[in-house]
Amino acid sequence: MSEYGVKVSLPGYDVKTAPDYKISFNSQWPTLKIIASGRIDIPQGSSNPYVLYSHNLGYPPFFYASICVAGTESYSFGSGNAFGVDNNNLVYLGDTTYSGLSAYYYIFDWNLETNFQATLNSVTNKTPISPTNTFGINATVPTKGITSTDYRDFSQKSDCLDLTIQQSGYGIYNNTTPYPEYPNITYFDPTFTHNLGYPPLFDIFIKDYRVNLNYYVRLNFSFNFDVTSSSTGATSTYIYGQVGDDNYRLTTTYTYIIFKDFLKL
Amino acid sequence: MTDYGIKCSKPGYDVKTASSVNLTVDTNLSSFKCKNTLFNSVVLNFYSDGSTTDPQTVLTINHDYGFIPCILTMANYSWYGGSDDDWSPVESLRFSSPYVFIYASSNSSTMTIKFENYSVDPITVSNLTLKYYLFAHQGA
Repeated sequence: MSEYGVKVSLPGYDVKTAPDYKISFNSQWPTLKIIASGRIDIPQGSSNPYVLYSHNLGYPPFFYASICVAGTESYSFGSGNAFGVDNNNLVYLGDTTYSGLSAYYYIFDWNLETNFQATLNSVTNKTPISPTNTFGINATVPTKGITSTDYRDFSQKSDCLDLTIQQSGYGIYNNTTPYPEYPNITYFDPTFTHNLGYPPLFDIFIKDYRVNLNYYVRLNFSFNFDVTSSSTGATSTYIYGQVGDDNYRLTTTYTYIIFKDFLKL
Repeated sequence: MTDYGIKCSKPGYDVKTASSVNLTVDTNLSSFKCKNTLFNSVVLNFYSDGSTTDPQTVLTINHDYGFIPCILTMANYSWYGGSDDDWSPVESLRFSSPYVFIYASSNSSTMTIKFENYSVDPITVSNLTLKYYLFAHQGA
């Protein structure tokens, strides 16, 4: 198939030689497009799970969500509390005994249950060659003027780095590895190989009985694991997720997503 | 309003009829973006006595967004004896010996990264490498 499309590098980089993590826009590579976003208060004592937003997409979308102090302070995505997503809803799965809880969320046009592999740039020129070069593409969302100075008004702005998807996958992992200190406990411990050559930004989601098996939740410290700590990480060749399972469950449903983003600039 | 913009479809899909999920680019929808100058990595060295100084602010980043942005922070394990090639979200960096926690927050002008040492033992942190993102989107 012939190769069509548009490619834009970050300011100062030659688009023909820039590595993939210096490309702000490549029409062959999908980015995270925002379908819905907003802040919502979580009433004290509300039911669990508490529906934050009904997206009704018919598939589980990639999302970001975090507890926030309404209108005052944001926290790093995924911090402190659990959020989950299924084919219809984004939900809060954490403790609702506190008053004054608010959450901010983003739902993106990306099905978590997607197997995808982007092309890779073969060049690795990290050095800016023309710092004054400022060509690019600016496009605003409908009803917003192109002269806006508010970055939120832009659907594409090529002096910004879009989170660009390199790879994604999903499946069922066989928890055959025994937990080191408890041989009868199964262990979710997959690695997902990538060919980026640098540690990338990433996410792993699992369906876990300790939260609610109906929902994909981001794998990190945001909910309590009974037996052992969980962790996730990325190296230059793979990403990994780990969590022990004290219910002798032999399989875990998972999805993962890897972005074109060099963590150590 | 007339519908202007750019659409690019995935290979094998007709751009005129493809649903949004099969478009790599659709300027009707805002992409999730980070201002070029406001994502960066930094190496930190500091001391925590495990009591009076905790939680301590180890990094502040001023921004000019004029709103409270979404934020994300990744950290490298090497300061804790891990590999220089091993990175995790800061929320995953909570260790049991000593028991420490790193977390990030932002208001409308400043992003702050804090380090908390819950143990009674002091700790000297060398080469804690962080990469932080301030996305050009509302976060609170």
